[in-house]
Amino acid sequence: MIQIKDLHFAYPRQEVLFSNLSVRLEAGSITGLLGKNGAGKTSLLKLLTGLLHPISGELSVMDHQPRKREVSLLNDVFMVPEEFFFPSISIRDYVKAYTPFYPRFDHELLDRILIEFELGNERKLQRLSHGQKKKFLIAFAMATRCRLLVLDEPTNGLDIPSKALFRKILAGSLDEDQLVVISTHQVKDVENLIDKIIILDNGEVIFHQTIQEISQKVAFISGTSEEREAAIYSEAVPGGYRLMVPNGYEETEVDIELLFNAITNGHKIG
Amino acid sequence: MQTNNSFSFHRLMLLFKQKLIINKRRYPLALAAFSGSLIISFVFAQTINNFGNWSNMHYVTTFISVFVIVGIAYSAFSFPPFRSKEKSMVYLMLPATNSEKFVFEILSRIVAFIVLMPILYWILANLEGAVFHYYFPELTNYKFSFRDGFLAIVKDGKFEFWALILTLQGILFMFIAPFAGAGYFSKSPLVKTLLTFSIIMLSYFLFAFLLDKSLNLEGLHPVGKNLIFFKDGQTVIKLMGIGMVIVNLSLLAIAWFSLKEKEA
Amino acid sequence: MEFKNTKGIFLQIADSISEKVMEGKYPPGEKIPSVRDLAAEMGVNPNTVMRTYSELQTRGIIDNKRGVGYYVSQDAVPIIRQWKRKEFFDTDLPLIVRQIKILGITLEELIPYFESTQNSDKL
Repeated sequence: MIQIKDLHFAYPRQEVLFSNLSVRLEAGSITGLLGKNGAGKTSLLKLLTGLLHPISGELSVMDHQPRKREVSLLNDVFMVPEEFFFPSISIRDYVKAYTPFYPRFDHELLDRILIEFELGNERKLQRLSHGQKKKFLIAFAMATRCRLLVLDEPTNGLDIPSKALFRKILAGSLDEDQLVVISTHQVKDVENLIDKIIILDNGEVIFHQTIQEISQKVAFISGTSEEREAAIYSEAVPGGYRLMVPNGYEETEVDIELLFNAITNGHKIG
Repeated sequence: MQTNNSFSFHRLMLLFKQKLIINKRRYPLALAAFSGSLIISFVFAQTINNFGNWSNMHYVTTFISVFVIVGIAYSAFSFPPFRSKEKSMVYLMLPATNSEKFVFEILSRIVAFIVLMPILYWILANLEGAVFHYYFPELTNYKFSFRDGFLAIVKDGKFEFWALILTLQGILFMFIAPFAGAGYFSKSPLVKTLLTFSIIMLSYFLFAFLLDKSLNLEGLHPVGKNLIFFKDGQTVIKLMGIGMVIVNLSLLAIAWFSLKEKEA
Repeated sequence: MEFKNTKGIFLQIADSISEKVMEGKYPPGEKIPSVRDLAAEMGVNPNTVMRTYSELQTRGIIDNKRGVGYYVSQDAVPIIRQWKRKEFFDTDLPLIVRQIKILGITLEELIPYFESTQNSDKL
């Protein structure tokens, strides 16, 4: 669905952000895009949606060049940005004004999600809190049924129950021909939701594996300082250590934070 | 499903529908405010004119000034989403082609204004005149017609072809320049556009002045009827007319590429 | 000091389904939730649930009826019991035994405790 090869990108009058970025993503996945501050997560998402134009290299999304902003791509891609704007109209009017542009829009799904998020149709968008606006935008994004959904820090600003609802909604309303790319720092919020992890560092994709691959290769355990010897990577925690060890026996839950720190510190898991 | 990626009239209509839904409260308010202030200024102007000598010519001169000022201001608010990054993102990702968005902007800003504003003015002027006449039957100059008004200004009522082109292009320029500025500049487009054109005009005059001085072209003044090298007035108007067409087309091209290459 | 490590999420889901089968909430022959429904219910990636289901299917705990859904197989209960017993002896028991030895607990000490928990289970 997404093919990026040797992508080169820099903001005007700024140093190069991506020098030789390459990655391939296929449909049927909820992919987590991780990276430190300033690694270029948002920029990459904007390149995918045609909001930014690459300087050179190959970038294709569903066989389109996003920079051309062709309707056949735009009506199949939806991005939930971190900061967004809504006109001062009701949810009902917004839906009337924007949905006709999305040929696969699922009104029934939208209503269902809005009910779960406790957002009434008559609510004025401008009067909603930031978290509520975000929930509306997430609901709208899901209901467009776009094949590529790009979510930039989607759980920022959501309250505790909404974060769980967000996971349930995503897990339950996607089709196999859809791809969701979630950029986030809140890894706990998407822990069991994502099935693939991409780590962006120094302008390149330095890690790209499925959760299954990761958990088959390494285990994440708590242990003592002796066990630390055998670990690929370890961090001190109260009462011992969190360890990333070669997986010898049973799959454990993937500790994304530990994995992220290990990878960005130059460790490899094969 | 086959999607039309060039131009769809249906999607153009959707853009209009969207605009109307989003502004369904703002438009009536703006219309009321505009009409109200026009009527008030008519009443005011007629009052200080001692109720008597207000005429079609006054209506037309008022019309021209309102048309120019409001028109420039309104065009300068073209591409409203470009004023903020968040709005730009929504606008650029909206599934309509660049050409649909561009045509929509021209239609909703320039064409709509040029067509609707005179009609509105005519209705308001005659309405206000009729009401005024009702209360002050001695006032007889209350009917307004564009034809009579313009004829009062343009005495012979005839335009040469190229003079007409030049005039029309000049009017269009008034709208297209701020329109292009609104597409090109993100923040305070009107100020920046005015500044840009002032700089261009100043540089032109400075250049012409220096050329005049350095080449010592006695009697060939850059300003006035004897523009350098062309002594014939007809040719000058023709060339200026063609020049304006080129300027306007270039400005539209700037607006188009600003939209097409816009990033957010 | 030994910590209990958390199993991979796909195994956790397998455990919870197996538990429901053992408790009789999903009797043999009963239809279990679809991949998507279970994913939605738990907020877990559908691919993970899919992995759980194929694991359970390989073990013979559930059957896939094409186009209809997943059903608890007739032999589910004995299969799960055997699987869980093996898991208990392989992973849980060694840890418990180790703790017992470290703390110097004797078998005699454990017997009354074992009997009392057995009784409370029956209540």
